Amino acid sequence: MATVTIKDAVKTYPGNVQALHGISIEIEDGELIVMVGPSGCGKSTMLRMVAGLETVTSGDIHINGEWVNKKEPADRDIAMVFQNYALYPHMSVYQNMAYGLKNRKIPKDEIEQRVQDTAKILELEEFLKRKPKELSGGQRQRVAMGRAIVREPKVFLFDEPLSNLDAKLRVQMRLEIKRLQDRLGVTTIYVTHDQVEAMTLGHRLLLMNEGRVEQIGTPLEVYEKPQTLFVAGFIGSPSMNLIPVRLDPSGNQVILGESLPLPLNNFENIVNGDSSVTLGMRPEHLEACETENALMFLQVELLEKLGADTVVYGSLDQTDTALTVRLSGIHPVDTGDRLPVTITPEHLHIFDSDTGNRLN
Amino acid sequence: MIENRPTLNALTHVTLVIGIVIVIFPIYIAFVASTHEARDILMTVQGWFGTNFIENYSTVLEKGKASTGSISVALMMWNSLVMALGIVVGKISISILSAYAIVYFRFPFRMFFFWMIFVTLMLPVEVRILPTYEVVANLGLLNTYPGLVLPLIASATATFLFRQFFLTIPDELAEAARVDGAGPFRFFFDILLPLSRTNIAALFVILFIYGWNQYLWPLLVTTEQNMTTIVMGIQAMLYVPDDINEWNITMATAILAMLPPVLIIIVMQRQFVKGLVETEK
Repeated sequence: MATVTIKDAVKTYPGNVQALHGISIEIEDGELIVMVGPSGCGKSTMLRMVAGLETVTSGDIHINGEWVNKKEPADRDIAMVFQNYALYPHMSVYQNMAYGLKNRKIPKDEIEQRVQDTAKILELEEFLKRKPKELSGGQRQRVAMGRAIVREPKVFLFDEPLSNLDAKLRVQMRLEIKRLQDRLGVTTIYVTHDQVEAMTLGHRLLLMNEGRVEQIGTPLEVYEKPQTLFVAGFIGSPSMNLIPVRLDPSGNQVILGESLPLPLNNFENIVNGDSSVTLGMRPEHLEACETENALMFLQVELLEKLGADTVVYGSLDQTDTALTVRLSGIHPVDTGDRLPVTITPEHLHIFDSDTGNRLN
Repeated sequence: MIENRPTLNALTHVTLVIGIVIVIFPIYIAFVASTHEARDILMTVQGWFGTNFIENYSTVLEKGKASTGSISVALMMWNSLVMALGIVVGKISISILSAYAIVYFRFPFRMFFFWMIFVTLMLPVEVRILPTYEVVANLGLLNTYPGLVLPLIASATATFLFRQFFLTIPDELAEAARVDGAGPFRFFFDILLPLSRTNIAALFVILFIYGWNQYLWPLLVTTEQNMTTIVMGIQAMLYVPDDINEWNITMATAILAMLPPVLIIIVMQRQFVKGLVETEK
């Protein structure tokens, strides 16, 4: 049980390539933090710095109040689950799980006890004698987690642990990880590029892009009030419609394209110099409506009928601004239709087009 | 191939049989010759086995050949075995350790050292044989096993092979071991060494044959007859100035010289092939 504090962590690789530009976060005891972002955003680097596998260029990392920048991974009392599991191929499942304990000079019978207990939690008992290559992907994944759990570390570190699994297994393991973390209550840092994993697992998310923190918040905060354009576009599927618009000085409408006004009105407090902003609308918040209530009309170009939802791709009437709408259920709409849509004002997001920051 | 063409099948088999015959025939002749009396094979090649098998081989193993100072072939084989095993063990341990250093540790001039080792690939024993002899002589190692073994145990090939193998081991494995509290020694002995088992086996076979077949170096560095290795012994037996050459004895020695490498290959064949072809780790 431990807290993890990262303060202004910077990582510069030789050749002056800066991978991280000062990451700070305080992780509470028992919390599950998901670091999420596109490939190359530095999330794995950050995790590996916490693990001690990468040096910290500057900044501080504390685990449970203890400064660990210079400590060996083994002395930080962390356990890590790797993307490719990194199981020792020549050792049985039992040996794989016991190895870390053995190196810590824990008595044999205690190792036996702990491995058996962990195997029971993860339903691995019958596989203890097998080699990793005789196991399926999901089982290997569980062994990798077992190897972490059996150590009873202060912090779990997961580095994209599910990305080598097929879709169905991924959902199942995701639930398992969630359940396990709830049960064990160990502080966890989980790195993924999959926003569904991030949203479902994390107590809080840390969104990263190009080595910078974009936003830290609970999944719903991040969804409801994305603080930057990047977060707005990253979280949510299909991703948010981001449309450059001009803010009307009166403050009760925005002008789309040349002269298509959208009478929207909760932007009174927005002050923006050149009044060019980006309007964000989530596809699932746009609703089909009667023609007379319509805010805008969508020229339907493409449909994805998923059963639970119908995703409509098209462009706004009289413009070539692309727009995606997600209607719940099966909707009687067809390619070429002119679909009247509306949105409630609380679901509008306004961002500064230049800085990308949220304005409302 | 899944094709079913009888002519092609027959042709393949004929080709293989011809190949085998070409390889086996000299060995067969040598073996047949080693079972005859000396005078039966002096001027002719015998086609079938004689009756002196046990006699010839016991003479060879116990007394050797008079013209080469009556050093028993058993002793020669022992010398060869010690030398070959010394070379194998030395080469494998040194090269696996240097490969470990080059792949897993960051130290100044790492690549320089790697290239230096690599460059020595171009220098066979024969090129540096005189200075090496000087060094060994000055160290007082002439006519000793260390003198036979030491100059031959540095191996760029094996280092390179281990390096390439280590590079295929995912980094995460080393990292997982670090997180698991394994230091450099533990990682080496608990993880790297067991994983290299098949590579070591393959190298063992190759290097054993290399060591067993050494000729020039033992010839230079040993002057005492009881340090003669078997390959030197065979050569010495061929030279008989004023006497009838006992070809049966020479052939028996040759057959015996062949045995250990063959045995090694038979015993380690499976591991050997695995080590050469295995890609899945």
